[in-house]
Amino acid sequence: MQKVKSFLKSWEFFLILLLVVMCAVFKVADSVNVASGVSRKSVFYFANVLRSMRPYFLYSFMTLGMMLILAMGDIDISVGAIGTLSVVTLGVVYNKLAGGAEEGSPMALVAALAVCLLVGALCGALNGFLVTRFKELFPMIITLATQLFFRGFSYLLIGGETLTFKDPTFKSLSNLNQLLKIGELQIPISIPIYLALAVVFYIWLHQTGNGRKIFAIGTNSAATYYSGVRVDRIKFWCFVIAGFMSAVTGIFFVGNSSSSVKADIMDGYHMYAIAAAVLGGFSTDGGKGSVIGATISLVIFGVVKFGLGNIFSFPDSAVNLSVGVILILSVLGPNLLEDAQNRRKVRLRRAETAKLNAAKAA
Amino acid sequence: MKKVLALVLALMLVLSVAAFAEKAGEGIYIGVVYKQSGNAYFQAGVTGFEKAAEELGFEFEHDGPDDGSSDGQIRIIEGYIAKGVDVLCISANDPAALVDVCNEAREQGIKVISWDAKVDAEGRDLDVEPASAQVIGVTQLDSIVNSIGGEGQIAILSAMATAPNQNLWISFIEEALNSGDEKYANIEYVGTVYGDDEYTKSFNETQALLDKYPDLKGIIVPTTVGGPAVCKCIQDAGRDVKVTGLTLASDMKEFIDAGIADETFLWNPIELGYASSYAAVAMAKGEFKGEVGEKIECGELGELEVTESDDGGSILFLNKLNSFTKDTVDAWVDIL
Repeated sequence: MQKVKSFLKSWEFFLILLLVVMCAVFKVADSVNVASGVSRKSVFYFANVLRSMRPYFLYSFMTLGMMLILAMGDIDISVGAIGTLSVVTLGVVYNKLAGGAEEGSPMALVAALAVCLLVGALCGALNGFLVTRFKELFPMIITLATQLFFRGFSYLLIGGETLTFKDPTFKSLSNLNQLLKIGELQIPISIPIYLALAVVFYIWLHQTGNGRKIFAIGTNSAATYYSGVRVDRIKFWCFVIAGFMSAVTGIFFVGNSSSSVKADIMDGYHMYAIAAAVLGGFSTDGGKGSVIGATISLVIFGVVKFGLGNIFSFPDSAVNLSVGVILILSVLGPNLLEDAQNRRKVRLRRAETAKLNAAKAA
Repeated sequence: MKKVLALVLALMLVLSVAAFAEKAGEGIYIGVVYKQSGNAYFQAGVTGFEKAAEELGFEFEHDGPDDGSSDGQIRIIEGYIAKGVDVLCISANDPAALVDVCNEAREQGIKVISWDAKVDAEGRDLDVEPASAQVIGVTQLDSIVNSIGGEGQIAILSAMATAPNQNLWISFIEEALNSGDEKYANIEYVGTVYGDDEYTKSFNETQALLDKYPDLKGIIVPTTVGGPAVCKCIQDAGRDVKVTGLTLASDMKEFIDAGIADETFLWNPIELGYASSYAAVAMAKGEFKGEVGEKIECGELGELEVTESDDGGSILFLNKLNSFTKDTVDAWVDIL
């Protein structure tokens, strides 16, 4: 009973409620559209929505990395640029090793992918080093600087060019963008891969002592340090993992762009990753949030964008705007609620003291 | 007797037109994707689709990402696939990046047409573009020959020395000049200089041209950045040299009004959208496949022929450039 009660009060429950309400609204609007002849066929049914989740799960891996950073009360806005730099090196290295070869070379692809992931981790390591070594600087400022640095470096490597590869080996990266066909369903391949990774992250963050330390750092970094946790070391490795996850995300982006690489391939996507994590309950104050919440948030963003774009026919730019609105409301809402509750408590206590004082006087 | 027959025939024609009042594109649904939302050029393109929709009766939706990115376009295309459009008309931010998503659409029976900016050959059914390199080159040459009265020295100020489009156009200009055609008999072509698509460099190169050839009569500028720089230089020098080229109306208005350029060119996005619509409707009805050699009737643009593109795919050229003159430039200033 206690468990059910605490679940009903949890943020995850609120998110599920939000999702259900949104689905209901979209379903009704969709039926109205069909009935009134505005659209020719129903759009909002499970298989169609699931298939269309693909673009919104591209950056889900970046969200996993971002969760670690936010849980510690830090922020990393360079993750998009890290992903870009990683895949730009992927393209450049593959070009060097197997460029022009008709069939391509699987060995070269493996090597290039390894370099790509390494670059991601190294970029993360640079962030981690700077953040732990120069505590007087905000992580926001540090990663803003490294973001510009990584982005500039990407342009330095390939300029405004698009690297395209015609060989079947490199083209196999497009498989990461494929749809798994199970019966009537078409499942974007990124979703099962994400879910598998999310389980790993869930167990680590929520079930192991090591993971709890990350939240402890976010709650009170100094207290955690004095209780014997090597704060800096954990921080450093979290940034490394975030960088690594960005490189993973980048590889999915290459698949998404028909196996081509451009120096602006993931521009701006760190914002989506942060947005999903924040809606999932993480905050820059640190110490809270959950993998489950973030996962539901990814779905929510996908459903909102799908519904507004395809049922309400909002233009793409307005869809982004609505994501911003949801984010602000969902972050502001609980804060306002807490505020109101606190004020109520204060009022009650004052009334009580007044009563006591009156009784004393009498 | 003949008169009566003619009258009857005319009447039949009228009646047959009336009988076919059911529009050709009724029930067809087109998804239009352009490079970036809020861009006047593509808004003009959309008016082309609107115009054709009035004539053909199809429905369409249009959208573009606000950041001009390929992944934004992919997102929009996926939305259109989910909605079940019959045809996609795409102005691609990147020819390579959209290939996979376009092929997915084609697997579901959706036709893919690129317009204005191509999707690579393996990902499209047809590309609709303003004009072949030859038409672009020769139109500019003929215009400058006209402007300077058929005789005198002309030069070209191009973009980068390596710019592939410009080099192709220039090669067709040179070919026309060497063809022995009578109208170019008194034209002396002194050569091409390169402004690297930088205003200052273009300006300085023009100054050098003016100094070197005191009798220079005309300059062709097949690049939008060069146009205003060349005109400004000529204006400052007070020389009587005419300019033509591919330019933006907004850049050139003051120089067209000042008489430095009689006529400049760029493509017409409205006509691109209009022709794409006709191709899209014919494709959706299965009357037209977009294969090389096929012909298609494009409303007021007349009959156009599909040719082979240099990337191996098929391409439909309108072969018509939009000209900006003293009379027409004002209407285009806000669009191009």
